[in-house]
Amino acid sequence: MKVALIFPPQGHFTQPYLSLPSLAAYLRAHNVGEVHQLDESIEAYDYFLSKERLRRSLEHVRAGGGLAALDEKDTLTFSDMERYQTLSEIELIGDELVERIEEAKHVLRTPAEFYDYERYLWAGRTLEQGLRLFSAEFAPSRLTPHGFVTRYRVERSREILAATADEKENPFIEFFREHTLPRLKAIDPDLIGISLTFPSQAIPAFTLARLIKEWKPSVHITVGGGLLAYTAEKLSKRREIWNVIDSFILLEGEGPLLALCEEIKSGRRDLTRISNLMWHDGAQVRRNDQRDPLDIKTLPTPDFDGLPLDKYFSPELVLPLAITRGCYWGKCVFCTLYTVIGPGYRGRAIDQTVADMRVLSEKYKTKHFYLAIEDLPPNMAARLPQAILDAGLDIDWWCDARLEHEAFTQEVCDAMAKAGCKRIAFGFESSSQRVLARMCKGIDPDKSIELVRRVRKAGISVTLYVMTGFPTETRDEARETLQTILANRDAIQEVSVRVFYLDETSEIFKRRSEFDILEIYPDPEADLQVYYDFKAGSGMTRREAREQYLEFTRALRSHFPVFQNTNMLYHELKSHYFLYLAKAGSWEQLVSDVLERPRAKTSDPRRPRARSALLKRALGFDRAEIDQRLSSIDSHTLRPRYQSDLVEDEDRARFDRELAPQQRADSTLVYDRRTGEIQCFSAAAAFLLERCDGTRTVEQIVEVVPQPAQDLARRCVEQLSQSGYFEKESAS
Amino acid sequence: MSSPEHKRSEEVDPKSTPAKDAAAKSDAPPPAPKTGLNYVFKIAPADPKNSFDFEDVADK
Repeated sequence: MKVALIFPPQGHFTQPYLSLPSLAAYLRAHNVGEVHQLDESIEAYDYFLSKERLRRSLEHVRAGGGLAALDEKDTLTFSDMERYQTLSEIELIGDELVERIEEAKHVLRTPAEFYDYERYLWAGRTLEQGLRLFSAEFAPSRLTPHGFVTRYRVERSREILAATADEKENPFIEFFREHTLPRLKAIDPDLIGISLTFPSQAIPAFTLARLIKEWKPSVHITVGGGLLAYTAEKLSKRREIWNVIDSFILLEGEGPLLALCEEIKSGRRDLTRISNLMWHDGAQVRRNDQRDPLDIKTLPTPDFDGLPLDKYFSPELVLPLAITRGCYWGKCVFCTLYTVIGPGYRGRAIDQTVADMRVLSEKYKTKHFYLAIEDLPPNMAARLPQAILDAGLDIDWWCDARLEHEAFTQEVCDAMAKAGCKRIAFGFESSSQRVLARMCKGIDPDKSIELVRRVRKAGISVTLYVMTGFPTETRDEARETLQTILANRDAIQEVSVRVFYLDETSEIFKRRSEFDILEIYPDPEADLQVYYDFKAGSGMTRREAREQYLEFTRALRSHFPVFQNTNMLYHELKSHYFLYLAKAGSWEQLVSDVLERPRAKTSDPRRPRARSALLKRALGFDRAEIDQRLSSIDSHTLRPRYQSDLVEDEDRARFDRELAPQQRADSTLVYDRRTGEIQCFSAAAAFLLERCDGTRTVEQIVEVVPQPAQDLARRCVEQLSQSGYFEKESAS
Repeated sequence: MSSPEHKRSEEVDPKSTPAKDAAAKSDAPPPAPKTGLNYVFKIAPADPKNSFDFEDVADK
């Protein structure tokens, strides 16, 4: 018996997810035979971001021409601007990206390089730019560190199926053919399990299933994972889905997957005997009975063997570990997480958790853990730290928790810090007691802030989740939340803000009239629709909620070191910030040593000379202005699709018709090969940069500028100097 | 360098300082841009998605 468990793209690239290791451990503990784990998400990133593959993207984009033709135009439409943005960057740095993409991956995977912050920033930017180059080949599809979006909507099964055959816009067809299928053929599995957790995995997952069935129709493909809690019932109604898969496993996967293995191994293949299974018997969809949730104390330690652990874009492994399943609170009306894992809250014993940590730490040579749980329950918060200390474990970890004022005393917070807790993310949501009460959060905002200060005092980094646009929430209430956060920013390190979405599996959806939701807007073509736009009778409109969200993000950028300037640690959220935090030892240390470290002061050169490491490209339009316009259009468009900022074709056509075209204005794109940053210079600024050739003093550089503008020109030269554009040896 | 503050333009009225004045100086500038210099000394980050999206990040 051979089983292949697959995590399809796209998930985050900094650490493995827990689904496959949990299932693999369970199957291996029951001796089902060979169990293989394939993380095709990290494999795909690694392949797409390779020198050879990026070169093909560059050649493809160049063969399409474009930038020169756009630069000849008198004005640019909205669509032109989108292309201009992409093509101007590729024209400037395409060759550089191809040459250095492997170096960038190496930096992220190598401790000495990763913790050199300047190298880290360069590598992070290079990866993002590499993904933009790659995505340009498959436009409008877009692969980023955080998502994969295409013109095909994942809320429509018909479109998902269509996307699986679109060679031009679906990059995973090629990847699966060239990389995944050969490995599967070598394994020749009897059963394939595909884990489907995020909407971004839907198209890749069904693409892969289709290709596998073309190769080996007899292999049983089962799909499980959190996303199915929302969509399985709906997906099952589309007959064509059953051409590419054989079953869905709902809720917890361990038991049903083992039972499925046994049925296939024995040759009986009697699917009626397997609980939590949905399948098609040839005539109709069958849904077997649901079994009781597992006692997670009976589960083995997750087993990461077989995953490509050296390929993640992090220098040290951060291993996810679940010490509970479900949420012990389980009352928040907006939350749907309990639907993913099934009913009931269960915890693992403290001594088991400590044993898991020890085993994993020793086996995989890492001291870093992410507790992949909904929230750390008070009894564990009180007991786990001492157990870790008693066991002599030298580990770092982070987790989510509820703002339990009574449970997280100063003593508990101190003990958690001592036992290696570096970061806690809390659901704060709002500073309005009224809104919190309507959410059924069961917390008091003043006490929450007190608790935040305790955690901070203990030396643990604090992240707050905030929601804006909850039904009935007013703009004033939302602004009050922002003010509360800003007023306490000395005790808060990160804020994760999001707009409220109305999810049909949530309690609030079922009781929506109680929340003054007057109307919802179903998309008649979206058979998999889960999130609904709506009209409320009170509180903010959806547009206001979106505007408030943007107000929030702007304020966070201005006031929080972790979101400022070129900082990418938050951007690569999953483990990079945590690793930096663990390395620095404390938030204060991280700020002083890394985030706000003063740049090495160099004397202003007497005869400035622009560094040779700069790449430049003159343009007929102002790229910065184009960026700003496109970003503002995106910002002011309510995103009709959940988690996709892709502009719809009809919107694009409307923008092309209605938006004022972009007028010509010369600019120069300047790429710094040391930092990976790209800046857009106005013609006058570029002119000054050209004059900085080491032969002129600052006064000689600016003397050709008319008198009234010379002060500004001097300041511009100073800015160039401060930004590191000049060779150091010019200083004399 | 890339803070929002740097997006502010620092400019003077181009009409009061015609570009040809600059070109007439003995130290000749590089070829003038097609639309002429207007003495807006602006250096701004060229970022296709000028703000990473907090929502996208939060979900995985």
